[in-house]
Amino acid sequence: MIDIILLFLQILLIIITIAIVLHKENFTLVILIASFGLIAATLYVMNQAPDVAIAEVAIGSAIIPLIYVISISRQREFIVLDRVNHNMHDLDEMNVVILMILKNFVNNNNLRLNLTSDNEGNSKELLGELKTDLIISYNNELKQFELKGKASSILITKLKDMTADYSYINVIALEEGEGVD
Amino acid sequence: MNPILSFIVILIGVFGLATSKNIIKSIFCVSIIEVGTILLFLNFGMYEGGSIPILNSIGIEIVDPLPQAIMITTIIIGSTITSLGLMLSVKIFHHYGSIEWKTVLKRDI
Amino acid sequence: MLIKRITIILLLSFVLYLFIISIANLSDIYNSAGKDFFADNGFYDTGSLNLVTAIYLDYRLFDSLFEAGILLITVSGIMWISEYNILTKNAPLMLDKQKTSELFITFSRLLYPIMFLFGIYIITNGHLSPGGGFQGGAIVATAVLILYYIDISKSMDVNKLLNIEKILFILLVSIAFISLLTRNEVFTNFVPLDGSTELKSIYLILLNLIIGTKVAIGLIAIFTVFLKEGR
Repeated sequence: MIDIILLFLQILLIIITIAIVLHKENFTLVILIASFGLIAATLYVMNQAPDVAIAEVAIGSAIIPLIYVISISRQREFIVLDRVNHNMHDLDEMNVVILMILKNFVNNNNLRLNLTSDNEGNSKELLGELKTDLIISYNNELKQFELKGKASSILITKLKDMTADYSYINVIALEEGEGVD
Repeated sequence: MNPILSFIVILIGVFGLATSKNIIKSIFCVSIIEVGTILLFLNFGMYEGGSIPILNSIGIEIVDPLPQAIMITTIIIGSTITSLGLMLSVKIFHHYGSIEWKTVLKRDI
Repeated sequence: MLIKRITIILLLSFVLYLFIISIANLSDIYNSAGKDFFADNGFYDTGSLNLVTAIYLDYRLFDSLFEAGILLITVSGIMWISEYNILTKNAPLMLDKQKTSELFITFSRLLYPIMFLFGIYIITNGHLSPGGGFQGGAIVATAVLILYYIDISKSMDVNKLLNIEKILFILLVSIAFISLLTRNEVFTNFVPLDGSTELKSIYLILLNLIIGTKVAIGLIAIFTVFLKEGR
């Protein structure tokens, strides 16, 4: 009787391993990770090793999936900082157009939009320090909206292709400067 | 238990590490290899009819306790390596904009 | 692409065939001298009924010291890579203002003291039943992490946690060196070999408490750095 249960659990472990290797989505991998840890802990108890089983359950099924969930959800968002002075009335329709462009761009790449607004500080040091991906500001002399981002990121290149035919939007890619120690 | 089935788990983990397109999945394949190794080591010390290595009374046949003591530290080291790799992958996403191996390796900046 | 996968599968099956050949007669090689030594002398030398705790706290304390050192180095490495203490001069971001539901908050308030008590029980009874410092430390860390469900803006100060962890590591190494004075041997119990087993278990409880606290603080610091990164 015990032999049949052992064989069944081992075959279940191999099936879950193959399912993890061939799975394509990123966010539903966490549930498979937690169940893999639980079945491994049951096999450890049947090998007469209870200390190892307690360690595997506490670490591999309770703490590690939490860390996976946080890091996966950080890799799906796009942070935008808005520095346009919204009191001037003749910019309202262009604001709506920029918002629509951003929403289309974000939906194409399976990201989420995270928007905030502030008005202080210099542009370059904000980009290096505050970990934002995009800064929107308005240039009064050229009458253009300027979107600044990092030069080494693929998303800024895609944004540049998407707004090539709008005349009042300008995408600038800033190079990363050396850090000061 | 079978040592052959735990070796198959190790080999599936190596296959997943070699052909994965995602950074997160290749970090977890390292953890799969570690679970397979632990099963293999626990199998070397066990025999049929032994009991757990906690003495209730002297004179009962126990399983070898030395592989179990080594494997406890292996689990903790594996978890710290996983968390270090995940922190590096978050920084890669902020710098390059994607988490696939091909697009990250192509841009030589 | 398909050729690459088939080549990898063929190579790995060749490795599996080599492994099956090499463990054909495993039971001829294995001898049981080590197991008999631990079964006869384990309890009278160290004072613990749990033989696994006796191995990693008395016979091989050298490995556990380096294990604790690896935890300290990794936590400080993660804290150095991420940027977790940006000054609060920016406005709060839009997606961070979501509120957790009432059901989670009520259950977290009910479960948190029970999990904490269970973790301390497993740490202190490491030498009598399955458990020990490493396992109990992970359970205590899970109990404290539930507090983040209740209120996400109250996070712990990571620098203070790292200072406590450094002091605990120095304390652990210095207790391991005390046995040089009483027994002329480093990294073992400080009660002499012919003492009673009850005196020897004081050393085991002390070391289990220090290791358990250290592991719990390390895991809490890792999780807090992940939560506060970039905000």
